[in-house]
Amino acid sequence: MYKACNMVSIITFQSAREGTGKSTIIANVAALLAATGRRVGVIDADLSTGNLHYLFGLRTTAISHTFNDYLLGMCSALHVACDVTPHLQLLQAHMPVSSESGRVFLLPASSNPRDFRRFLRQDYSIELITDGLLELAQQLELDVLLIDTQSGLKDELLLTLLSMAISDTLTIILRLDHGDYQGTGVLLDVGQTLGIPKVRLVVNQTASMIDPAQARTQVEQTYHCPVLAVFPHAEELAILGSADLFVCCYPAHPLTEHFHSMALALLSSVSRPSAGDHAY
Amino acid sequence: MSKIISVHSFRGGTGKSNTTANVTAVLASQGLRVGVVDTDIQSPGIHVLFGLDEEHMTNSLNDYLWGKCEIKDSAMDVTDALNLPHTQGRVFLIPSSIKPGEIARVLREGYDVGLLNDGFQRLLEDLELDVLMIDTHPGLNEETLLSIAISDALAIIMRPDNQDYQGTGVTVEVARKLDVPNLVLVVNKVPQVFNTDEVQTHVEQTYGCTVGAILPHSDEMMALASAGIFVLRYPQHPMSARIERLAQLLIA
Repeated sequence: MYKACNMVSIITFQSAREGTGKSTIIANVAALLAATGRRVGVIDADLSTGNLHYLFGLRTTAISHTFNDYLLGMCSALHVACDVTPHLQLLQAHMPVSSESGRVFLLPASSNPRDFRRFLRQDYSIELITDGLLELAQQLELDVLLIDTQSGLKDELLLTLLSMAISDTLTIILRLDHGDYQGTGVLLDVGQTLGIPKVRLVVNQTASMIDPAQARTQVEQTYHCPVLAVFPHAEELAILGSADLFVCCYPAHPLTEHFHSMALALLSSVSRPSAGDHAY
Repeated sequence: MSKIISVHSFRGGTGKSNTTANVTAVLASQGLRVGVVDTDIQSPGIHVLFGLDEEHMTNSLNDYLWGKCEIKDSAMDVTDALNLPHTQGRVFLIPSSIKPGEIARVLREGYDVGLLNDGFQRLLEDLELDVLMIDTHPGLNEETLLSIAISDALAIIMRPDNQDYQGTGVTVEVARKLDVPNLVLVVNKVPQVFNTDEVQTHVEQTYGCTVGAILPHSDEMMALASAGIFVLRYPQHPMSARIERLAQLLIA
C-alpha cells in the first residue's frame, strides 16, 4: 500500500540485547539515505545510553537541547533537531553518492546518567510521540524518520512500544549468538501484536567463516521474517570505535556496500515514490 | 576466606556475561566452589552460556526476591554440563527469570534491594562457596551500586569504543568512592591490529586504574556464539591464558 506523498516513513530499530550494532547501522544508513537525496530524521530514543551523536561526530558539549528535554516538556522537538549534514558534507568527497537535497537531522539524547534517571521518574505525555513526531516530520519535511530505541523491553518500555506503534517498519538487529535468539523471537511477537505493517531482520557481526547467504536463509526460516541485510564482522569498524561514520571513512570497503544494500532494501520496503528516486 | 567478585560494564554488549562465565570456569577448574548470580534482571543472559534453558530452570532469583523460596533453592548446580578438569570444582548458577511476565513484574514493582545483600551472604554460607560472581545490569542503578559496594573485587568491562569511554569513567569514579578493594579494568573485543601493550598503557593512564586483561577480538569466540564457555572449549588458546591471569588478579 502506498502512503500519501507528504507522509514520512517511520522505521524503528530494536534489538533483543545491547551491543548488536544498532546505533552504528542506523547512523550509517541515515547518511546513505541522505546521500540519495532523502531528508532523514534520526531520533536517539535510547535514553539509557544517549550515544548516537558520537557517530555523527557531534560532541556532547555541542548539544543544546536533547530528546530528554523534549519529553519533559522543556522544548519543542524542532529545537532538539540538529542538522548534522554539514558534518557529512565535510566527508562528501568520499561519499559514494552525493546529493544536494539530502539532509540528516539528529535528535540526540542526553548522555548524562542523571538525566536518564530523571526521565524514569517523571511522566511524559504520550502525544509527544504519537502526534509530536509526525508534526516534527512535517516541519522538517522528512522522507524518513529512523528511531533508535533501547535494546530489549526494559525500563524504557513505554517509549519503545510507542515508537514501535507509530512505525511503518520495525527493524530488529540480531547477532548469530545464542544470547540473542529468544529475545529476538519475543520482539517479533511484540511487533506482530502491535500490528506494525512490516517487520524486518538484520543480522550483524557474523563470524568470518559464516556464509552470509546461508545465514540469511537460516534466519529467515527460523523466524519466518525477511532479512534486510547480513553484515560480516569488520575489523575496520571496530577500529573506528564509533568515532565517525564508517561509510564516509571507508567508501570502498565491502561493508559500505552492505550498508548501501540495506539502505536500498529499506527504501523498497517502505516503497513510496519520491522526487529523488531516479537514482534507483 | 570467600570472596565476592562483581563484573560490570557501563554499556551492554561489552562481553560482561561472557567474561563472568569464563572467569567462573577458570576458578572452578582450579577446584573452587563458585556461585554465579545473574542480577541483570531486566535482560538476563548468562544462563545461555551455562547451557541452561527455560525448561530446566526451576526457581530463579526473582522467586527469592518475591519471598517464594530461599535463595539456595534458586541455585542450580550446572557443574556436570561443564566437564571441568578438576573434580572438586563446582559451579552454582542463580539465574534471573527469563519469563517476559516475570521480567515485566520486576520492572513494574521493583524489589527490596536489601534482600540481595542478605541473599549473597546466605549463598556464601549455605553453598560453602569460595567465590561468588555477580553479573550485574549495565549502567548504574541501585542493585549495581549495592553489588559494587559489597564486592572484594570489581571487574569493569569496556571496549575500545567512543560509546564506552565516558560511561566507563563514571563507573570507575563510583567504584573508587565506594572503596572497592580490588578494581580491575578489562578491555574486550580489541581489534587484532591494535598493539595490546599500547592499549593497556593508554587505558591505564586514562582511568588511573589497573588493566586486568586486554582481550583481542576472536573469531573463535564469535563462532562459539555463546553456546559454551571459551576457556573450556579452547584451553590452549592465548585468550584463555589472558582470562586465567584475569581470574588470578580478581581472587588475589
